[in-house]
Amino acid sequence: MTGFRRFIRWYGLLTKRLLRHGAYLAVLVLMVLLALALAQFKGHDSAAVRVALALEEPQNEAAAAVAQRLLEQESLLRVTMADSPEKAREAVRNGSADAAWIFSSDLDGALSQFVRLGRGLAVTVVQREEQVLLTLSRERLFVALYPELSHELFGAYLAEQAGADELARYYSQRSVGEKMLRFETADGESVREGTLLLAPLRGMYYVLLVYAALAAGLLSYREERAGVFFALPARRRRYVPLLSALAAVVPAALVALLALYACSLALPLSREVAVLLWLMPAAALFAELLRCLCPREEAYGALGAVLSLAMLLLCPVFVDLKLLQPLQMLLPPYWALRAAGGAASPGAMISYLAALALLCAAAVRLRQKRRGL
Amino acid sequence: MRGAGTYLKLQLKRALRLLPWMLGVTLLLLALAALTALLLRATRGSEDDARVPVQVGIVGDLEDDHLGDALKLLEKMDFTRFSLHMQPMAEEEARAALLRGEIDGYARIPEGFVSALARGEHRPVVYVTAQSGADLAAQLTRQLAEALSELVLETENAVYGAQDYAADHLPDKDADELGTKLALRFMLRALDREKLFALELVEGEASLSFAAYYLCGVFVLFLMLWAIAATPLCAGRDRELPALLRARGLSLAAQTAADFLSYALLMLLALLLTGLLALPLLAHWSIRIPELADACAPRLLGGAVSVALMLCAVSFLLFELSSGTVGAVLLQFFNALLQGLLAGCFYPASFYPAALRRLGEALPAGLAMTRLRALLLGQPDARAAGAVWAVTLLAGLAVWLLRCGRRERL
Repeated sequence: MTGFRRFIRWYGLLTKRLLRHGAYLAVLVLMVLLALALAQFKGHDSAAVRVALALEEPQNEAAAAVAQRLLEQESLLRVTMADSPEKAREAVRNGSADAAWIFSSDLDGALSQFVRLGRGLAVTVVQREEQVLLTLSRERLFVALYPELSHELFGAYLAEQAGADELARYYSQRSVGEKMLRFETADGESVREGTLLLAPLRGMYYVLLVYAALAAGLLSYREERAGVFFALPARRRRYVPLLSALAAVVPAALVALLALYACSLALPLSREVAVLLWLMPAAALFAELLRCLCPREEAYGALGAVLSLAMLLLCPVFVDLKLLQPLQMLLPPYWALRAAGGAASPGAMISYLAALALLCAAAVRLRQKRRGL
Repeated sequence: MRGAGTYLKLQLKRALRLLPWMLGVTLLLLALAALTALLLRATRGSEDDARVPVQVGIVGDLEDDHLGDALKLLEKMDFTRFSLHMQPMAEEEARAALLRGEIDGYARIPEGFVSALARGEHRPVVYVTAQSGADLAAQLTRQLAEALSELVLETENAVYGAQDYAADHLPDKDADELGTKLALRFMLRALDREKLFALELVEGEASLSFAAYYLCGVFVLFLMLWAIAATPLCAGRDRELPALLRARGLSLAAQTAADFLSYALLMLLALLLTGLLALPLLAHWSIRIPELADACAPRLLGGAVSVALMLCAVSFLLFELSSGTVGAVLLQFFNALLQGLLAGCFYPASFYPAALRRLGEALPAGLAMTRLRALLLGQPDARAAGAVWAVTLLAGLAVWLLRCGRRERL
């Protein structure tokens, strides 16, 4: 009990020392402000591809129906209607659109030709260059054209069999009319709709949390040099940097939780708390392990800069590159993000934490031994 | 004057002590990048097959032949940068593989899925996936899957419609065979879908190539993150030292200038040496940046230095604003994240709503991106260049004023 009280007292002292620093507090406040500010833009039209749509023949019913379908859909495409094909082309030229989709004046004829011959120019696609996102956006265009195409194919096929009549009645007679796919996580929860803007916030906060621990490690170099905790017995002194890292992480974790709730990104509270309860000691142990491995403050500082980039690129914060999985698995935010997404096994996470703790304990002992303590 | 020279020399010495560490770590970073490239080449094979494999498990009722054909078709469809690999497996096996990160997700086909569809009943397929923070890829995958499901639904409408029609009007035909043949025709047309479009490439206002855009983004992000490596030089300084030095005749302006010069020189040297290391590597990996070859080298170099100085001045100001090491490091990191996000270093800024785009462009990182873009495209950029120098001077002035204010308090 005395040991626990001592731990709490030391932890309180170390936290108080950190909270006296204006910049640390400012970052905590900024974390919440960023979430609130980005949440304000949630309803705005963020999109990966901007498309200007134009009809060569505005009276063409099929073209108007396809255009309406594209304008109403919610996706990574931002589709706007241009007044004329020339204006759509101009939008591509001046960079206000990534692509222009110009529907042929005889869209039905083009689809019918495609059905019969396997080719038929229904849409002229205008771009400045070919890119992956633009190619993928054409899949959406094909889906929007598909009902017309499907009707055409159905009619043509049955007409081949016999002079078919009353076809429209049969088409979609057995339609299920609802979405065929439902998205779930491994925990059986529905996958939430995200926005490009808010989606990286969780990853950014997790990386920031690890960074708070790394920053506390940098402070520990200075304190060791200045002999701040010199009065403590060597055995206890060895754990002060770890406790200091934990002290830096806990307020940041609480603020991250608050920020995730503030911008409606939070998962069920139990899962959020479980992930943070795992990430806090993992971040502190990770930082302490690196500190023990780096002989000097300069090396640790430089490594921090590289790690920041590595964490942002390798962990699925902005884009899940699915690269170098063995390297990804070394980084705590990777596990935390997978756990938040319901795709990390508890056993693996506990093993990671245990391995970190063992390595850290060994590194601390080695370091103390090297120093003759 | 002599005091100022001595002080500058001392600060330069302190700064240069960090250089080997920064370069060592940069080498480590480049080695990491090289390793990534090598592994990518090794795992993806030739350039012809440079598509990202998407592994999908299929669990549940797979007994229907139509479903098997549809899955084969999906594997054959060309998704440009993705190749779809589907493996039938048991649900427990699929779940374990998802948790281990071996598959991207799995689709759970409900019992009697195809026969239910034929009766017009709705039994949705559940796609189980990890909900990661990286939403761009996740959203793309989801939208692609939704697009495919819309295609399948529409095809089913036609195929079952044809079977019903045959049952009512064509007694001499086998309705099932008719449906299968129509489904096959749909598949052929889906594979030919690109033939519906005529692609027209137009010359527009000059814009950066993808590689050049990300070169600018990485340049700006690097400089902001490198400030962290300079923490031992700039953070946690003795606040009374400037007053003491001033009492010895070294003005605050001279101290500020010397501190900034030493910090900026460290960053510029690190940048130059990294550039010298990285450019041959880019050439070796055949990453072509045509804008670099066409740009006027002295103008590009001068512009890059001015941008680097501005970003250094901003991080120098942040160091001055933060009182402790932990706060300083976190503030630098947060600054890099925030500015990098808004200025388009991670996602292109064009993805964002207009108001946020304008905000991003007004930030120092946004100004840096604008200036670098203009330099690479060889466009006139007097306004951006003026703004870059103005921010540099303002940040320097702010540091000097902060130090003056602190002196008053002492």
